[in-house]
Amino acid sequence: MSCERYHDWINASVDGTLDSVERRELEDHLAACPSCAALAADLRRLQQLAQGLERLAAPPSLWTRIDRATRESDPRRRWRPGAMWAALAAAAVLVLAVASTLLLVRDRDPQPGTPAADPGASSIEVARTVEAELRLAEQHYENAIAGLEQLARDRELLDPEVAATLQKNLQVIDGAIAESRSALQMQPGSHPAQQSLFDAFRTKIALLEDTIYLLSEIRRNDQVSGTASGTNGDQSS
Amino acid sequence: MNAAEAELVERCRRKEPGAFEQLYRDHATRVYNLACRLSGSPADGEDLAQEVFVQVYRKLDSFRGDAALGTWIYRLATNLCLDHLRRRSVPGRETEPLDDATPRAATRPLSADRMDLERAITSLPDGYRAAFVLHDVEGFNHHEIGAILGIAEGTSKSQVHKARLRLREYLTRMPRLVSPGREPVARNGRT
Repeated sequence: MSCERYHDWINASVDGTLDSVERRELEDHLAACPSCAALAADLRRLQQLAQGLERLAAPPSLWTRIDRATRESDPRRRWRPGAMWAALAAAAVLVLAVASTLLLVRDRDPQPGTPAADPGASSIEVARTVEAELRLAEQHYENAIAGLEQLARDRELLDPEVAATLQKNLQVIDGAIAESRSALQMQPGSHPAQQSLFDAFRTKIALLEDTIYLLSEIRRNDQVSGTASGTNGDQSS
Repeated sequence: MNAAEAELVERCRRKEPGAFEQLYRDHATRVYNLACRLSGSPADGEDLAQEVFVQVYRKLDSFRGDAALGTWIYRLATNLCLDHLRRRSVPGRETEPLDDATPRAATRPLSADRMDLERAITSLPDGYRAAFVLHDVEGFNHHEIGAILGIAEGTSKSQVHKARLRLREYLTRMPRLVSPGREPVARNGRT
């Protein structure tokens, strides 16, 4: 068999797709043919290099950019000034209240490397402050959620499946908040625990924003349907 | 498409909160790496990855589920990257692939490192580059690559084979670079 035919086998052996008979024949050929043996060694080295190339992590900004671009391109997800002002106002108040609370917690947290005048007293003070701020944030959330639940009850807007998913998601996020809070009580100055808490808060804010938007869309569609049926009724009469 | 993928697609179509982000998390690393390696630039790779997922979001309603969700996404990603390369190429300066059926004798044994390989990949013709990155770097098999690139499985094998020969030739003939902390290395121990 010619060397050219063995080149296909060398590639197949690099891929691991040669059967045992072909592999033995190829090994015999490589033992007798320095040129093909060099090719086989180089292609195996090349494959090792390719498999060892650095795995790049997508930058965190990528999802932010995609999320923004998809919201802008989708009228169903885009926030529209003037539409459902009450829902928008509720979302804005919620975001503002929680963001203010989180900023207070973060600002009062000692930065790594910052010397504390009295580590013991400082730790107790931070714990009390964080606990107070967390209670405040929780109160804001409870108020906002109560308002949303009232909206849903008034018109029975939410599809049962969507409502169940929303409830499940809220439970998961509440669990994360509880865990983060527990960790912060153990270690008031822990940055990972704070970060975890902030992430959970942000996730909850996003979920509530989506919920408010969903409610406003359903309400808007209801209004359009009502107008259309009223128009039809006028025509038929 | 398996049941979990079908459920995720349905959740995305219903605009369920968090669904599209989960789809993104499932495929972001592979799409981003593919985009960076096919474009040869992390900056272009990030732009292309963004464009890929925006296209996925817009076209998800037309995804019929005949192939795996990943295959559909990587096909879209590869096509966008190859379009980007074609737009970037200067008219009249495209190089035609030479006949790579017979490997030329290497001038010296291959002693490259990963940086050399990254650079060499960018020298490949577009089709070879896509097949090589998908197979040898990303680990897709030839059947999957056939579905992603819209080519026969045998064509995928041939493209990867020729890409390896080109890379070998590039890497064995290229001048060894000397930079701080990196001495040229020869297999016989002499520099």
